[in-house]
This record gives sequence, structure tokens and C-alpha cells, in this order.
Amino acid sequence: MQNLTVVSSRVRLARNIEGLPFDLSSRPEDAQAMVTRVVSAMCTMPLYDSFRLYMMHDLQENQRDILRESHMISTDFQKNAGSGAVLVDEKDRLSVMIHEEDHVRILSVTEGDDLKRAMDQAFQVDDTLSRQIRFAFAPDLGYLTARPVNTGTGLRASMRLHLPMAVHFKQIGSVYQIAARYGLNCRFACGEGSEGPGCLYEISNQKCLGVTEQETISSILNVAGQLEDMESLLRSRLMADERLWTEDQVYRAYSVLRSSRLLEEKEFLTFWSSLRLGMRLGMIRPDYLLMERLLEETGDGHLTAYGEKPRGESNLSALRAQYVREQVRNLDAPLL
Amino acid sequence: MICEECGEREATCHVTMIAGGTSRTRHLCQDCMEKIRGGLGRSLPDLNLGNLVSSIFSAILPSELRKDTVEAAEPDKACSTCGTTLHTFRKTGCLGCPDCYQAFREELEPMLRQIHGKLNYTGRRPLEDGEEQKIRAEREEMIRQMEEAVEQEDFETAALIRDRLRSMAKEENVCRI
Repeated sequence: MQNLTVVSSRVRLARNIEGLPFDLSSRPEDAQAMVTRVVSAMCTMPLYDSFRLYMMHDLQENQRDILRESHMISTDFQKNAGSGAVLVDEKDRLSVMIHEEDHVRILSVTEGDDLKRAMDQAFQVDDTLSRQIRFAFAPDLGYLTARPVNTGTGLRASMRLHLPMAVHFKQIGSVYQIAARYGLNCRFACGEGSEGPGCLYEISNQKCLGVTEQETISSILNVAGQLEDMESLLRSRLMADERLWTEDQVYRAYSVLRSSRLLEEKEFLTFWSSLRLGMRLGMIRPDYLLMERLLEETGDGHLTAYGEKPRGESNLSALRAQYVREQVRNLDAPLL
Repeated sequence: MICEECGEREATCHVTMIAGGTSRTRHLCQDCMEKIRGGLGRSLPDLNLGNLVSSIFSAILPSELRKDTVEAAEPDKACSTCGTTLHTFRKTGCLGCPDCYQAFREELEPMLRQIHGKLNYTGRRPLEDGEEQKIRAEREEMIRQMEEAVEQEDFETAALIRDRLRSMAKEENVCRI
């Protein structure tokens, strides 16, 4: 059964090409040759035609923002891409960063809890590349990466979870404990600190040696399952003790998102969380894909692009409100 | 990094001298380090680098500037392939190249154990050996031909090679999970 606590799942694989320094920024010719090599290797992949190649130095800041908000490049890569390049598939779900911290970083994203599919997509790219390129690999240590923290599988698998009940009932400490018991990292996903608007948390593996990729995925799915059970129990408690207050919160959020004219990011996240909780409680007709998409597409980069012609608007709060209104208007009326 | 003294060998010793708010770092090879140490050492009993440098500074600096601290690095290990030193790795957290894993194995093992708990690798492996290598070589040749065809604007041939590469990839049933 689908775990609806999970908003999205991501996989990143780090790979390096044998016999070359990890950092090629001082060797522009080698750096360029590597981009050509990786792109040539990728073009043997079925469906390669759907990939677009971007040289990072050719992109405007806003275009980089959009790629980062879609999780197709990392924040570090956005800032320090240098001679880097990125291949992105047409659905913004799969990408290959060239010259990030490692020579090649494969990123794969899926909506919801389909971490296995994200992994399969990443492996498909990994296999395509490893048919043409010899990766730095040691039988006892696995894939050799620029930082020892990634040595081994080079895998960082993560899930973004919506945990409004754990936040409401002050159980975030338990969330961190459950993750730690399985050797996973847990962090608040929308800023610094351990709590904030949106109630979004990210769990990810920290170990890349001594565990297989499948074991890593199983641990994450297992912890996500336990957190869904916890949320479910707490939702029942909320409805038993604070039904009226909860309904008020959900329908206020629904109304604000449908009618506001200015919407700050933090405010949006707060109402987004209440609206999604309303879907989980059966008050609003669910559309979890829309909710996931709203998170991405209300980033500054997406909104700036949305504000360009014909709107000519540059106030991000106004654009956010307008965009969300358009999207939420398509949600069915409340179920009550 | 090349030795500042002889300008030939790799600098593996790094000495930082801090005095009166200014600091200077010297990068020397093992031989030059020994020479400097040996040349001055005869006149100084109980020699160690710290004593050596602070003695020099004590002699040449006025008393109010003698709040010297001297940091004498141990001879630094370096990767023979990329020249990254252990010092640089410790400072940045980044290794220089895949061979650094061998060069700094002794220092890396406890670190890897601390991060990952275990050292034995159990994950997936790259496509390797025998047949795979042959296939890889064949593909590399095809890619070369394809690039050549593109350069000569013979896009028809390039597309044919591309399609052959794709069908080869499909036949091998890409996923090895």
C-alpha cells in the first residue's frame, strides 16, 4: 500500500572516472573532454533523445534556480558549477551532473514513496555509463569518491516526509530517534533548525559501506512505514480530541490558498501543510501529485519564469499567490 | 607542490612560522628539510623543529614581539599521482584522485570505519572483465566512429551507429539490480 506520508523520493549516485583527479577545475581541456565523454556515453541510452544538455556557465541564475528547485542539480552545483554541465530528462525526473564534487552524479526523483523506481532509473544511467566508461572502483572499498563520506556505494537515498502530527504533538524527537536506530539521518527540509513551516522532513542513509543498495532502500522504506504508522495514530488522536480546531485549520488553509493575493513562502508552507493534512483526514479530495508539484513550482526560479511575459509581474509573493490560486482552483470542493 | 628550496622535488614538509601577527609558511621537500635542520642543528643542542625556529625568532626579534608560536608539521604524506597531501585532505575533507585511497590508506581506514561502521564493500559492481571489456572497447570504437561521422557532417552514418549502440544496450537488458 502506498505510504502517503512520503511526498517524494530521491536517489543520488556518485561516480568518478578512473585515472583522473576528482577536481578538474584547473585542467579545462580535460574537464571539457570529460563532458564530451559522458554525453557520448549517455547517447547510447534508450530514450536519450529526451535529455537536454546544459552547460552551467551558459545558464542564467533563474534557469539554475529552476533546475535546483526541480532537484535536478544540487545547491553546491548551482553555486560552483564552473565548467560543469548537466543532462536533464524532459520530465525533470532524472539528471546527470558532470563536474560536481565527483565527476558524475546521477540524480533521480520520483513522486510519492516509489524509492525503488528512483533507484532503478539511476541504475539504468549508471549501467549505460559504466558500459562506456571505467569508473574508479576498488573491490574492497567500492566506488571511490572525492569525499570518504560517499565511498562505497556512492548512494544517497532519501525520502521527503510530511509529518504534521509529529510536529503538532511534539514527537519530532521520536522521529529523529527512529531514524537514528536504523542508521539514517533525519533533518528538517525547509530551512535551519529542527522545526518550521511545512512540517517536511527528510530521511536519508549515511552509510555507503557494509550495506548493499537494496538494504539501504529497505531501511528507508521501513522507517518511512513506521513514521506513517505514528502519523496515523496521532491523526486519530487529533480527530478525537480536537476535531473542530482541525477542521477550522484545514478549511482556513483551503480558503487562503484559493483567494489570497500575497503569499510569503513561509505562510504558503504553513497552509500547504494544513491542506495536505486535510486530504489525509478525508476533508479535502486528495491530489497528492498536485501538492508535490506545488512545493517545487512555488520556488523563486519557477515563479520568476511564471511572472515573465505576459504577466510582467516581479513581486514573488504576488506571483506565488496567483500561481497557487490557479492550481488549487482545480482541486475539488471540500468533501464535507 | 614543488619544494621552495630546490625547486625540483615534491614539497612534503610544511612549516608555518607565526611571529608578531605575521605568518609565513614554507613548503620543503624531505631532503631540503633535512639539510636546513642538519646545518643549523649542529649549533643547537636538543634539536627539534619547534626549538629551532623559536630560537631563530628569539634571536632576531625584539622582546615585545617574542610571543612566538611555532607550528612544525610532521613530514607530510603526499599522493604520488596527484600530489595531494594528507594535510590538504585533512583541511578540505576532499581527496585528490582515486589513488589517494591507496596513499592515505592508513589514515583513511579508521575514518571510513567511523563514518560507515564497516569497511567491507557489499554493493553493486561496475560491468567488468573479459567479455565486458571487449564489448566496452567495441563500443568505444563505435562512439569514436559516430563522432567522426558527426564531424564530417555525415549524419546518416552517425544515426545508424547510434541506433546500433542503442539496440546493443537494449539487448543486454540494461538493469542489473
